[in-house]
Amino acid sequence: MKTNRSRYYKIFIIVLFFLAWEAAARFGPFSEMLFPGLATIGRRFWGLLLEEALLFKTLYSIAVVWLAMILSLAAVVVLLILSRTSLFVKTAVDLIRAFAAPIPGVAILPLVILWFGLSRTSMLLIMIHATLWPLWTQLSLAVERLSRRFSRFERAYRLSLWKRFWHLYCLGAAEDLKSALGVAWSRGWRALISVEMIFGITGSQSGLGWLLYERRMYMDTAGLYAGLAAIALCGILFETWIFRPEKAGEPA
Amino acid sequence: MKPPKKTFIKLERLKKSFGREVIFEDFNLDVYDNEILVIMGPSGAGKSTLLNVIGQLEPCDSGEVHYHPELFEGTKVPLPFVFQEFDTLLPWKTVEGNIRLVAKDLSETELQGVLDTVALSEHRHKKPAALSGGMKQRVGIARALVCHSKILLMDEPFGSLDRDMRLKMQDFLLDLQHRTGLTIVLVTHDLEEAEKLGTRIVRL
Repeated sequence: MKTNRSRYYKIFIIVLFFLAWEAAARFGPFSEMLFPGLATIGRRFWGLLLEEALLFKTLYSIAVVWLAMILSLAAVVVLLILSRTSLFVKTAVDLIRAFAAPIPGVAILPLVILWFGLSRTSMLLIMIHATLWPLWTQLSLAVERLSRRFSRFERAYRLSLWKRFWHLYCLGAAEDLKSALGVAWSRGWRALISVEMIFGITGSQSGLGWLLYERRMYMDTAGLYAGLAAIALCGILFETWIFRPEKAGEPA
Repeated sequence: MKPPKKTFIKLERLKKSFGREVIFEDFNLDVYDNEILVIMGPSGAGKSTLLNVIGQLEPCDSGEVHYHPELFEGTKVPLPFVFQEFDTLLPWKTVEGNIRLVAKDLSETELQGVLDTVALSEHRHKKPAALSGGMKQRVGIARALVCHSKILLMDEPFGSLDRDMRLKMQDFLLDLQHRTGLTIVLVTHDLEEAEKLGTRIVRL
């Protein structure tokens, strides 16, 4: 009942926002170049989709974030295994995390460019930096919790390495993994768009950030809004639906 | 004339301390075949620590623990535990999954047999969240039984249950021990439970 009402409110707020936008575009003091109407933005959105630029660049951006997340996840799994066997490794990784995690990806970009140039390697390194730490933080906490809970059980029943790894830790941390991927996704997504927009890392292929950069250069404001809409829609798709944490009482 | 009792586990001059606090010292104890040995004492007396030492989960500072070789025959888990906390069951696995986790090559007949023993046949596909406290504890017992061990180490197994369920589980355990001849070392702080279940009672 409450959920239904909240849904109606959302629809109402969106309709209200669109009406206010359209009114401001038609009757406001702004020029069409700065503040295009919804129909113009919609047409541009459709046009960019048909040109395949929007779809291709969106898919490219999503693929880059996923690639970074997969590489980060693999690194985190290795680090977690090592940190379970050595307190030194765990302390070292925690210490590096404490220093590195607060630094935004964009802030280390100049340094990365010095080392690797304006290349895809640079972008991937930034992306790994953006996605690695949230994954490490949440998954190391999950492993610690599971370890405390099952420590006597796994030793008493002499569980094999594989059973511990898969049945206790991987399956036990599945929900944490989902929410960690959600955080990593949102950090990675923001980092990618920022990096592409600020520094315009490019090559034969580029993503949504570069699309915004290009639209601004050509003074294609409607295209700019269309790109922003695509970024927002991807955010909603991943953060609200795909990586949405289970609510209490909701079937898993 | 009764045959002499087999000593399954022999503790000799055991000492265990945490920092400066000595938990037990110069402690001797024999665990015999086919008995329920109850270790009881107040909270913090070191009951669980002693059980952990017996179960090889914690080392002792000095002294020796001798095990009868028979304990290690035909099992990969010679000293299975039943814990007080239900949450040592894996909530993401079913009753069957939890039991199969500890016994790799468990046949369907064996599984059915142990489920019948703990009266959980109808619940084999349920996850722990759908079971009562007593049922969860019976899953814990089933998990220990499939290890084909001759001994069961139980750390306050019924401590989290309400009184009615605790009494039922005590009767269940007595019946199980009677049927299987298992040796059980059980830790409790409940005198009534110790007197009802124990062949022998050791106070810490």
